[in-house]
This record gives sequence, structure tokens and C-alpha cells, in this order.
Amino acid sequence: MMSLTESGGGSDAAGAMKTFARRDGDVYRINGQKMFASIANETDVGVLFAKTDRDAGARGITGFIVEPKKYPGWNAQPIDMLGLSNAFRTNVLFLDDFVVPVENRLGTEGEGFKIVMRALEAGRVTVAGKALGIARACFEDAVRYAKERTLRGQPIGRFQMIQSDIAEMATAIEASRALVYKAAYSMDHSLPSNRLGAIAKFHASQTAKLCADKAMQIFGGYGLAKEYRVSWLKSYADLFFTGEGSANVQKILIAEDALGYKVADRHHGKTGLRDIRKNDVAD
Amino acid sequence: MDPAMSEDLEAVRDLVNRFMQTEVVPVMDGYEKHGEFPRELIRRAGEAGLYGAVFPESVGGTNLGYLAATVIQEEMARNDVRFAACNNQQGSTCPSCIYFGGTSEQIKKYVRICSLARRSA
Repeated sequence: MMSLTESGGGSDAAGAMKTFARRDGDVYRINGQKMFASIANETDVGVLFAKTDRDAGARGITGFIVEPKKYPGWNAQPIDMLGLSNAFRTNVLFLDDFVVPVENRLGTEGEGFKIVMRALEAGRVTVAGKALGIARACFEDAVRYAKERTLRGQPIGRFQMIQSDIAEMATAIEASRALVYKAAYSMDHSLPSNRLGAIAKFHASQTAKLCADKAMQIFGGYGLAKEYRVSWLKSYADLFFTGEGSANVQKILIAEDALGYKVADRHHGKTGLRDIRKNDVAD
Repeated sequence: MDPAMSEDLEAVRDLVNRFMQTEVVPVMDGYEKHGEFPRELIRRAGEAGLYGAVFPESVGGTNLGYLAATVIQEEMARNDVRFAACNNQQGSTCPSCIYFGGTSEQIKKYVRICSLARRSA
């Protein structure tokens, strides 16, 4: 579990954050409310962000390693979500003097936002990978169904309207695949990847939505039956379109780079993400 | 030349597909029906190395890299995205925050817990 966002937060996680961690001797006591905290109702170990200075904006945010089963004050309530898992729940999280020992603070006070932004940048390309997986699942199910389902004596795959959908899906998937792998390859080779990662995430999650939509059309009424996974793959396509850096945030990053307002890879250094802490954790 | 078509990555792809087809796909509907968190399946996925691709072996990772991590997530999601949806907590955002921001002691203890999906180091 990694909990950053709050009600009213989302794309303005830092500005909207009200959850506060108060130092009390050897511990912090955290009070507030978090939104969409995935698996917070089951978590053994997670990371949570809270303000330690209310007046310092993004520089007032601190990260904490949390162990909800070990310390009091953690109350996670699952939220009913349309079409998403009943086994992996997302939660509204109430923190009432929740205890974190000082030794579980990440970095110094105020470093939290920098830490979480770096982690989200690293994770973006793997979210794009998941979106690509959804698109492929939709495509494979749609192709299988188009060959099985017959209408007027022939498989519906013989109809050109269905073929048009299949062709659009296949084309979008190949384009997304090339972008996603290129972004991941760049990260592995310490090349600038923030702009590419944003493009890959935006494109792959669009492709997932397109493929989920086309698959549903091909399945007809059965696409709305829970028995077929295309019925809920659409919700997951929406989830990854919005989650972990919404499509609009990716578009802003891409456009501001193109316009020269803000270079997307301005923080890129010679050290790749994988090498940053290598020496600190060597055996 | 497609870097994701290398033999090493094809082996990763095969491993993920085998794991998902034998361990997850046959039972995931049952967990969904009962609203049960599949803790044991997550532990086995951690043991199989599905969460540690971007972390060094010294902290429980496989050190395969981001391209491998992306391929793992792609294949997991293709097989069952419900199960794959927790990958980011287990193998990305949560351990990455600790990896990028923690002390070496915190990294050695908690990144290992996340990437191997254990309850303690």
C-alpha cells in the first residue's frame, strides 16, 4: 500500500493534503483521512505521506513506513467500486493518532514529495505495461469470440464492421507496445525517460479503453454479463487511464515539454534510477 | 530489433504466464466471490520473483530491470488484471518510495518484505 491522495487531492496531492504527523518523543502521531488507499484494509507494510509542516507546501510533506497491524489508530473502510475487484479493495482510510516510530520516517522531514514523485515516475511505465496487458486481453477475447459466434450462417469475424474493430485494436496495441518498451528500455539504460514514460502511459491507457470498448461491441449483450471478463476489463481500463498520473496530467507534461514551457526530463541525471541506491544496499 | 523480444525476456514472459495459468487463473474467481484477499497467492508470486524486478538481489529483488518489470505486469494483467492490480503496491510504488528515500537499514528490511511478499524480513 502507498497512500498519498486525499479527498480533494488527486492531481494536486501536495496542495490538498491535510493529514498531519505530529512528533511526540520517539514517535509520530498521524491524524487525517486518505482516499483510494489500495489494500489498506489488508496491509502489513506500506508507505504513507503526511504534512509535518502545514505552511511549507510540497516541502512540508514527509514519508513514513507504516505497519498498520502493529500500531493503533488505523481504520480502513473499503469503497464500493464499479467493476473492480472484490478481493483487492481500495479504501477510505481514517487515521486517529496512528503511531509511527521515528525510525520509520523516510528521509528527513519535508523530503516526502520528492521521494514519492521519483517513485511514481519509476512506476508509470509499469502501469503502462498493465494497460497494455488489458488491451491484449480484450483483443484476444474479441478475436476468439468473433470466430466462434455465428450470425446468418457464418462467424461474425467475416463481417467487415467486426474486422474494422479488430484491425483498430491490433494497430493500437502494436503502437502502444513499441512506446511502452521503448520507455522501459530507456529507464534501464539511464536515458531520459520521463517524457517517453508519460507518452507511453497516456497511449497505452487510451489503447486499453479503446480495446475494452471494441471488445464489448463485438460481444454485444454478453459483454455486459459478468461471466465474461470484458464486462469488467472496461473498468480496469478506466482505472489505469485515471490512476497513477491521470491522462490529463500526462498530456500537460507532454505538451509543456513540446511548447518549451517546462522540459519533461529537466531532472534527468547521468545516474539511472536503478543505480541511485546501488552502493547503499550492496551486501 | 525489438528489445522486448530477447530470449531472457521471453523466458520471463513464459514464467509469468505459467504462474498465472497454474496458480491464479483457476482460483481467482473463488477469491472474488468470497471477497477474500489472496494473501497466499501474493506470497507465492513474491517467491516466484514477480515483484522484485527493479531491485538488487541484496534486498530480495531479481535485478532484471524496468523492461522486465513492464513485461511481467503486462503478462499478469493479460491473464488476470484483478490479481495484477496489486503489483504496484507490492513491487513498485511502495518499495520504490522506501528504496529511493529510505536508509540502507530500512531498504534492506522493508524492500525485501515487499518484493518477496513476506510479513517480516
